Amino acid sequence: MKKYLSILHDYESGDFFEPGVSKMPNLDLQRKAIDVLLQKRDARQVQEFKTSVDQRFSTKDVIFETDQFSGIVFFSAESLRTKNREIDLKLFNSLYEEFAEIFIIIESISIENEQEFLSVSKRFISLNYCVQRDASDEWKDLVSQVTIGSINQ
Amino acid sequence: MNSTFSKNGFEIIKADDLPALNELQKHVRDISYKLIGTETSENIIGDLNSLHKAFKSPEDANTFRLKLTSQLSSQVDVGTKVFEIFRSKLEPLVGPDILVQKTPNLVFQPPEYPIPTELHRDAPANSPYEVIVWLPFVDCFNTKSMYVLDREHSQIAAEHIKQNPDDKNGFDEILLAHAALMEVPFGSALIFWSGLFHGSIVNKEGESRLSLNIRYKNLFSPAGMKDQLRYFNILQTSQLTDLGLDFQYREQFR
Repeated sequence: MKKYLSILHDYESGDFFEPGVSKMPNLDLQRKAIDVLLQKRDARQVQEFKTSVDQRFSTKDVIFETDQFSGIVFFSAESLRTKNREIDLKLFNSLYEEFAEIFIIIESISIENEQEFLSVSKRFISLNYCVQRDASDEWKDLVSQVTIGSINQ
Repeated sequence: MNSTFSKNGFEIIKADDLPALNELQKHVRDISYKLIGTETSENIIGDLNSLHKAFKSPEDANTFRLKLTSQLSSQVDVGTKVFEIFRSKLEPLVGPDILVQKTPNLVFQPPEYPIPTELHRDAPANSPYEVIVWLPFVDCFNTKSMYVLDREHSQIAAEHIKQNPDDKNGFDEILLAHAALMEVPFGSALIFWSGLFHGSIVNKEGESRLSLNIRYKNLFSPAGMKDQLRYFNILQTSQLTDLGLDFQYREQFR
C-alpha cells in the first residue's frame, strides 16, 4: 500500500478574496477530499501537515526518511504560494526531488512522471510571470495610459 | 479581423467545422435522452426543443442539467472541441497561447422557466481579457435567446451604477432601451467580451433552450480575481512560448 504525506491549508477566516466563493473548505472537509483520493489510489496517509498564510511549508519540515512516502497530496495550491501569490517554484522543484508522486486536489493537478512535472512547472512559470507583471508599477502605468479604442481604431 | 467584435464587444459567428458541431449536438442530445429515459428521433433539433416535456419542476430540470454537464465533460473534451469548431474567429482574439475554462457551463432554459440568468457581467471578477463563447444547440431567437448590452452601453450602465448605486430604475431604463436579444441559429455561436452586461428573460417561445458557455483567454493575460489554476487549463501554446518556458525552466532549475 502506498504511503502519502498530506498537506492541508488553514484558510483565513472571513470572506475569501475571490467572488463567488463564500467560504473556503475547513480542515475536516479537506481531510475528506484527501481520503477520497487516497482510497482511489489504494493508499494511506502517514503524516499530515498544515499550512497557512503565516505557516509556510518546506520539505525540511517533514522529510525524515526520503523513502517514507510514495507521494504528497496537497488539498490546494494555496499551500505552495508565497505571500505575493506566486507559486514557490523552488519548493515545487524540491518536492519532485523528494516525492515520486504529487497531487493537488482543487487544481486537478496530478504528477506521476517527469513529463507531467515539466508541464506543470512551465504552467507555474507562466503564472508567476503574470503575477509579477500584474503587480508591477510599469504594468499599472501602461494600463492607465492605454484604452481599447486607441489601440483598435 | 473581428471588427464587429472590436466595436460592439460581441459578434455572432458561424462554425468553421459544421460537421463537428453537428456531432457535438447529437452527442448532447443522446446523453440528454438517455438521462430522461426517452427514445430519440431522427430530428435532433426537434428532440432538444422538446426536452422540457420530460420535467415537472425547475428543480428536476436543474438536476438534469447538472448530470448532463458532468457526463458531457467526462465524455468529450468540450473546450478543445468548441475551440476547433470556431478556431478562425477565436484564435485571432486570444492568440496562440490559450487557456480554456476547465468545465463548460450548460444552461437549460425550458419555456416559462421562472429563473432566467440574471443580468451580470463576468469582468470583474473574471479577467477583462476573456472571451465567452455562447453556443446554442437549438435555434435561439426572441425570448428563447439571451440579451447583451454592447460595449458602449455596458460602459454607460457601469458608469451609471458607479455614480448612482441605488438607482435601479435608471439602470433598468438603460437596459430596456439598449439590451438586444441575440438571434443565434444552430450552427453559429455568440462570442462576447467579458466586460459586457448580459442575461436572459423568461423563455416564452414554447421550446426548450439548451446552450453551453465557455471562456477562453491568453495564457499570459491578467487573471482577474478568478484563479486560473482552478478554473482554466492550457489548451495550446505556440512553439515560441514552448521554447521560452523551457528556457526559463532550465535557467531556474537545471
